Amino acid sequence: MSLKHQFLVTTTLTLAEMKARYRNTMAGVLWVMLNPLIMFSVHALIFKYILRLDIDRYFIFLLSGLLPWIFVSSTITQSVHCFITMRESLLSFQIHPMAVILSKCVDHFVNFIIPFIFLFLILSDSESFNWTGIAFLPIAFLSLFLGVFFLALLLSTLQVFFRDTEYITTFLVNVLFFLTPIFYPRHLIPDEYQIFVDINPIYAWVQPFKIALWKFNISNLIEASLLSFGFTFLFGAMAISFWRWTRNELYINI
Amino acid sequence: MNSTSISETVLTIKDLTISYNFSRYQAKGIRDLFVSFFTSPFTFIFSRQQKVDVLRDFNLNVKKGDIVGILGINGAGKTTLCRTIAGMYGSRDEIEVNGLLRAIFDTASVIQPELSGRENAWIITNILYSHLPKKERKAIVEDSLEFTELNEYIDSPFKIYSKGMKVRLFLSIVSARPCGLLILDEVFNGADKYFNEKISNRIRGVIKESGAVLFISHSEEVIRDVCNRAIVIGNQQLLYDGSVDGAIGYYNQHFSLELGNELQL
Repeated sequence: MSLKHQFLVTTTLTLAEMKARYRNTMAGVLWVMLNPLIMFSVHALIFKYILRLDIDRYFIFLLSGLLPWIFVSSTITQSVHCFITMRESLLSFQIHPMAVILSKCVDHFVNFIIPFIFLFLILSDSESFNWTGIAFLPIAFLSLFLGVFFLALLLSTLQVFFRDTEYITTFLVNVLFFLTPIFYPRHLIPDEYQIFVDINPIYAWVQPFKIALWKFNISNLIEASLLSFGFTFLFGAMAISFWRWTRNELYINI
Repeated sequence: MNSTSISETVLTIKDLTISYNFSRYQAKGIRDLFVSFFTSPFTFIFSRQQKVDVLRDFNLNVKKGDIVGILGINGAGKTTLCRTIAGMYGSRDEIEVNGLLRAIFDTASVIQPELSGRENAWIITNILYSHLPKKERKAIVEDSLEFTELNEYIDSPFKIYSKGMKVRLFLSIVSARPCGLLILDEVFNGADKYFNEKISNRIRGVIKESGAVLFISHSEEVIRDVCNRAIVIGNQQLLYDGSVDGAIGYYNQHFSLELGNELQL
């Protein structure tokens, strides 16, 4: 099937998912904004005003870390079982399973980018940004999106064969939230544990946002972007290889 | 009815073998893997892959105008064959399809139960007719919704539809435009007699205009009513290919006793 066909199928599934999610809800599509904004406000309140973390430009720090994190965690926890939940459709129509994952990722990406731009515009009134850093943001978005897509594809394929994957993923996402320097700076982690941050793919995907918006440095940004794409390619290779290896059995096991 | 004399080939399958790795066929948890590894690590590492052949060296030619009924006991590989033709399994190196292929394997499945019948009609149309411009897809949706005769239920949530209502919606959309090869798997299950007659006429009309149909059903009556050619699949191969009466006769002669024995067990 052509790329145009896949594009239309993905767009249709994404819009259907969005429409269905907010049908019969009071706030409707406003939930797209409300959820990340509430999370942002709660974190800002707790860490800046109650725990009084001494971090320069904390709102920018939080915007560049927390919102990409919400995108990663919500996408992978909600797409890990989607081959199973979309079983009927996958077995009934000629829908490429990757289109299902892609539609989930696009859906969550839209939910991420709208509040991200909204908060960025609000903060740009009082904060100053480096425009070279902002020009780098599309690269950070691309790497993050592709990385999360491949990770979601890998996990949802694994879930078809190993039904524990969903529970392990949820558990790891919850644990990683505290272990990844998202709402606190990396230097608070003792030296002997820094290695765990280096091998954390989510930190690698979030870091270009931090450098581009919070503490801009061109060489650090290039280095972080390369590492981010490195993890994206690694997960891409793993996801595609596992996908090709198990493709025939996937339809039977879902 | 015999096969049509028009000799344009729509589907060619040459020496197709479909097999599964049976060890991956059983969904396991991580715990099961640990238990297998620690109870018998040698067997776990060196055990041979359990390959299961669904079809072996399968050959089939379908020509324009053929409405091929596919008969076979449960697990013979009818749906697997059709899904492979539709590109849902493995590679399609041994399969050649001339023209557009449209396949539907379950007419009661749900894409988005929260959305209305009309919205789901749009989703299904966008999936099945993505090659057509939006104006034509809109025409398909409107024509199909009218054909379903669901009237006031069209804008009700899909989750409240009965199986028969879903069948009406799906079949109306699937049969809205001609295509090279149409694959229908047990699609009439759930529809009432009135709609079966109505949709059969519509499908026949679509077939006349274009290609061929592969039609899976366990109902001899429906196969006789819809098809002009039939095949029997069993023991991983094509056992019979010819007239509908011949295929039904072959199937009953070779499988009814086996089936009876299975049921007694």
